[in-house]
Amino acid sequence: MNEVYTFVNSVLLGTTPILWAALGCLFAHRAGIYQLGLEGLMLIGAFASIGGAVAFGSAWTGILLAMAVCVLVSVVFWFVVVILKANAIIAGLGLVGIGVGGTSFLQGAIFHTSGAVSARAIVGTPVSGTATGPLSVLSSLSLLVYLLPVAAFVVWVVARRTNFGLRVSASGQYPFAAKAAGVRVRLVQLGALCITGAMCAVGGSQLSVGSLHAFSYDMTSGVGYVAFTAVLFGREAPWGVVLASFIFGIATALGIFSQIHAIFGLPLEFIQMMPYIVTVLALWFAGWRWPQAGSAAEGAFAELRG
Amino acid sequence: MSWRNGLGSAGRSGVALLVGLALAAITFQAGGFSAGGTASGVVTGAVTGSGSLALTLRYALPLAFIAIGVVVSFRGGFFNAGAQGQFYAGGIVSLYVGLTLPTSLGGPIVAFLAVLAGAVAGMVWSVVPGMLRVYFNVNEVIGTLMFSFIAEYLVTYIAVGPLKSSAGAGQVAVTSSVPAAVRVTPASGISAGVVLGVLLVGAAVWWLLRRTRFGFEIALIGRNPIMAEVQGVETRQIGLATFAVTGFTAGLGGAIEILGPLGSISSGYDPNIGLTAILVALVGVLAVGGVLVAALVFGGLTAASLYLPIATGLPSTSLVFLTGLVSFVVTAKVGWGRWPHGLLRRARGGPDRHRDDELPVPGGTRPAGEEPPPPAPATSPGPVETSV
Repeated sequence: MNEVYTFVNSVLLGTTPILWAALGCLFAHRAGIYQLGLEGLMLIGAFASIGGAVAFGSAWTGILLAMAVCVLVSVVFWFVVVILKANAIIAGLGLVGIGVGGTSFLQGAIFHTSGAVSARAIVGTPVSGTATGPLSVLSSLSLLVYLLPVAAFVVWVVARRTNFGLRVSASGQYPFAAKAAGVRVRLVQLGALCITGAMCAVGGSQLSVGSLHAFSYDMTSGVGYVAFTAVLFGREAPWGVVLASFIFGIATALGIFSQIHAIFGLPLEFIQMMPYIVTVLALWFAGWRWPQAGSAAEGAFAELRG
Repeated sequence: MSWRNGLGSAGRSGVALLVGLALAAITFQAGGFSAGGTASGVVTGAVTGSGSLALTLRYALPLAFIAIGVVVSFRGGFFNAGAQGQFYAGGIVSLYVGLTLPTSLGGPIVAFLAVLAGAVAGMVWSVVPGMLRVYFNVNEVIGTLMFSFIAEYLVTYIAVGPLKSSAGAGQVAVTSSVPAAVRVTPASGISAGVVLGVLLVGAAVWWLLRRTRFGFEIALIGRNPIMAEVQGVETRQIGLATFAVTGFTAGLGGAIEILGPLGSISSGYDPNIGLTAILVALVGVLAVGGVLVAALVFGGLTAASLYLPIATGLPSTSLVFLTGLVSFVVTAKVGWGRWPHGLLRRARGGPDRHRDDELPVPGGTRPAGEEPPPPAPATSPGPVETSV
């Protein structure tokens, strides 16, 4: 039984950063912008929150700083992609490069180390790591995990039950109609991208101040791309995204689980590929089952039409 | 007409490169590294230092191989972003073949077979996500990137597992080294054969794109896939073929890197070459000649990124930052990239007739006059009204 608890614990741990970023990316995607730079935003968020936590001695101040920085970066991304009509995919991949290289550079410039930067100030963990029994499911999980149901509900309300959410969808699906109806498409896209940036910052913070309590080079290792896939696989619906993120979280947890218990005697590296293989399979399923979803060629140039 | 467009695109690439360099310089200055010192370090590390030019060429060669293939995909409107994975696949398989085939067959023969096997492996690594793309409409950016992550773990597996060298007792697991007879270059990474190989592959791709029906059909698909389909182009086969070409050259790049200067693969080997190769293709305005020039530029920056940590203490990952900055702005349409269209539109007084110019060209930097004119895209609204 204890193993089941541990497994559920690592599923929650693996899902949280994916889900925060995916819920944010939902808005960018619904607004018709391929935000492939989630990975970069998360890295920047992870670094900024550690930096803030070290500087101000409070993890929450660090997270706020991370959100501010990521919103700022998202505004620049919006300017380049929507105003200057740069290709969103290339700019997004560039954002990942900026995230990987920029945080590495700043790490050296500010903390004078190329190893890990750790912070003593961390996000609170309501259930301590020594908990036993069913409660151990939640052991050592940060408050950012507990906030997820709230975040998912708020995202659902905003996306599906508010005027803004409607404008976001209209801007993505029928930009010309939205424009004709008086929606300021570019501003709506700015709003959507800023929400994406802020939520990616939280997702990145969960990786650094929320669980590892440290920042290291390229620590996201593909979580951002997986989150992006969760949006495609969840068919841009809030609850679909939640479900998709949990599937990827389970795949991640299997990787962690198998480091302790050998599965079918497979080498460790093959188990660690699991999240990526599951992502490909999920995309394949989505493409097979819902043929319109998930083609880059269709969405990629949406920004040129808006 | 063609040369003017080409010149305009090349100028735009140059501007993007300069903007990226300027932004990076500002950041480095703010981070406490003098921009002037960094700039002179780049020049020393890439051009003027002893052996710098050789290093520049050494890093430009694999970049050129990969980017030439990326051009083919991008011209067809397929975002093959997984060059790094295809590079790994090529490296792993060529290493395996190079280590297992007996050298008694003759060094050059084994080397040739190993390089060929690596290229085919890269092709397979690209065609699988390509098939998912053309038959199941799976987003090829994510598909190819996921295959890159999978390949990254294969690299670790191969270094700690089946091909692990029993000799070393170092910190990092490393595979056995390929015997010298099978290497395609000495440790310097440059040999006449490899340089000739780049030129040959470049010429072949140029010929393919500009002088064959295949190249014409790629251009058609890149402009408007639905229109191409209507006109009888086998879009799926052509799409798959572009994935195959990209994977083949990326695999070649991996093979000559492993069978050349490196000789073995260590666990966690990450040349950060995927994004750079995409950028080389874009900065090279998706033309073979441009790519060769851009590869030299980025080869120089790579060489400099190895020199800078010694000279100024700047971490070598700063190159990734610079690459990211340039990718961020390289496709932006500013200045003379945008004004002529607006002027033309106003001059004709019609609706937005030039929209098709901006549609399915990855990066939108392709010099428009270089391929045969598309047959009346202006009359077809295309597939673009249905968005995801």
